[in-house]
Amino acid sequence: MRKMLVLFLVVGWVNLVFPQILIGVRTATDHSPFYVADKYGLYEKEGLKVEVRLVPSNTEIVEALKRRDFQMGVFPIPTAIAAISQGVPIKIVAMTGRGGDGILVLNESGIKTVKDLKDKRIATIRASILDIMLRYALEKEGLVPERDVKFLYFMKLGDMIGPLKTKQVEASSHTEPFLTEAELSGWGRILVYYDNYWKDHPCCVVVAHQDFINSQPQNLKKILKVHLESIRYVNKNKEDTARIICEYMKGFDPRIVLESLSPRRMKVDYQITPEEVLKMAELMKRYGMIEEIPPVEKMLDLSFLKELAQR
Amino acid sequence: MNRTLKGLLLVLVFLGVWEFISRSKLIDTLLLPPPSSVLFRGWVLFSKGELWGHIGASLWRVLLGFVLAIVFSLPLGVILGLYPKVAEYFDPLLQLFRPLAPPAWIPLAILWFGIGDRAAIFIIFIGTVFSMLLGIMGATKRVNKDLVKVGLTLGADWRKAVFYIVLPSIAPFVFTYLRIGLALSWMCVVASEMVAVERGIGFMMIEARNLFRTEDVLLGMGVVGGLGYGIDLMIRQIEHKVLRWTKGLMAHELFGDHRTL
Repeated sequence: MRKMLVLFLVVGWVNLVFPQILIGVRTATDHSPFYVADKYGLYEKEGLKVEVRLVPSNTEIVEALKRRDFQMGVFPIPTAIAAISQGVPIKIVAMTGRGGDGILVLNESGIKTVKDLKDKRIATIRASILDIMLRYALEKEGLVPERDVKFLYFMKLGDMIGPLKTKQVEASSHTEPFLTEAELSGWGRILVYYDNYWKDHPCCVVVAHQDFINSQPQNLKKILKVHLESIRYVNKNKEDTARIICEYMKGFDPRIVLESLSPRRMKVDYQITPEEVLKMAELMKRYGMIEEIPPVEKMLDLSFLKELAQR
Repeated sequence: MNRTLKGLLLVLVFLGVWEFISRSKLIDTLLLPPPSSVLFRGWVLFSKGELWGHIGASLWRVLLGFVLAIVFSLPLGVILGLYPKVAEYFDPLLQLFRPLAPPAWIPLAILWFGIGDRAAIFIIFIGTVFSMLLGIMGATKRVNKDLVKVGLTLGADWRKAVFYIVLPSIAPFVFTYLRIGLALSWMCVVASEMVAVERGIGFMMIEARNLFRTEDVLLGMGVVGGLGYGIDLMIRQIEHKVLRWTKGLMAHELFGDHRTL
């Protein structure tokens, strides 16, 4: 009985001193720094007890953050801005990926330029980075999104491939590694990367709950330190990273994932600027996804990254 | 107090308790916004004209999917109920498909029916039809054979026996399964509107979820509930008229306010 009590107290003390930190991630190539950190025990090396948990969708990560079940999450920047605009107390603390999205068409479609998409049906995911960048690209090419093309909204990336292959849509706004897979498998063609319209545009960001920022700043700093290390690893060891990604993203060929990690297709990066956050928020407002642009200091906290950079 | 007022009273109490819980921060408003905020969002969307488009699109899909399910399940249910040997062939197939959740059909619905309304209507149909079919089949199976025998003895042929004895006998159960089927159709509407549609209450709820507009999600739930209740009331009215002959024959009339032995 006494032993049980001692064990109980020890476990309680350990949990108090080393609280478990949950980070919600999805299966995406630019989430790879978190897979690497998890795989190679980089959090443990910093004395942290972190669980990197795979979650099916961005909204579920935000919902878990809202409930304070997760302390941190990784998802595309529009998801973060939409959540913040609705009062969810989270802040962007770092970046994880840039670019890696574009428009996919069938090889035999005859579509040569973005302008050729006029009066065509395009698959996308409503209010996602793919939706925003698609609208932005269409506008840049002189097309009026709602008037000149027909958007068809899907829930998941995988759901958009079938309709494209069966010609129920003429194009699909898609992301890596699906784009590279379509190209290397020979059935699809990347019409354009959105980088052509907004060079190195932000994609997935690292987000922390305000309570976590306030209560465990040291741990947040350590997690971001690991994030920077993992990003360096990802950029130097692409072959190993591709192998690790495939452990998390079942069903993908490591060679395809390796190719999708090439700098011309996407970038894994941690730096983010207030200007690009504001630009994304402005686009979201223009496309009716948010009503008001939250102040940048409500969206972004770069103090931890700056401190790490000074070191 | 009449029946409608009694029901309304409980709804008002429910909304009042919910408003109190949200306003007093017993539950974070991020997780549960008060009903007044939901109603306000409803008013905003209504005055912009957005809500009608969503309601119209969903109503059309639900009604079409539901009607198709009736057209399929009513005759087949009666046939399988009357001919158990034929039902034996169908039973494994029905039991195999029945437990499949509507979202599981989405990839196939897209491939078979293309994207848009047809796939959405198929998902509503498939999510509704099996429960109705099995219910009608079961009700037909339990029709008292003596009633049919009497009919045949009095000169009816098999066709007349089905139309004038079997169908009226199962009618009370058919109405119950229609109401269950209608509720299932509304339950399928969110899943059905995951399939590349541009409008609909389910679509509105999915979009609201993506943009963390919890008020809009709750509004969508309220609209689905309200529409479902409205159509259910209409079915009940029809039931009341069609089944007038059952008045005075039902056990519940012996209980409660109707205790008149």
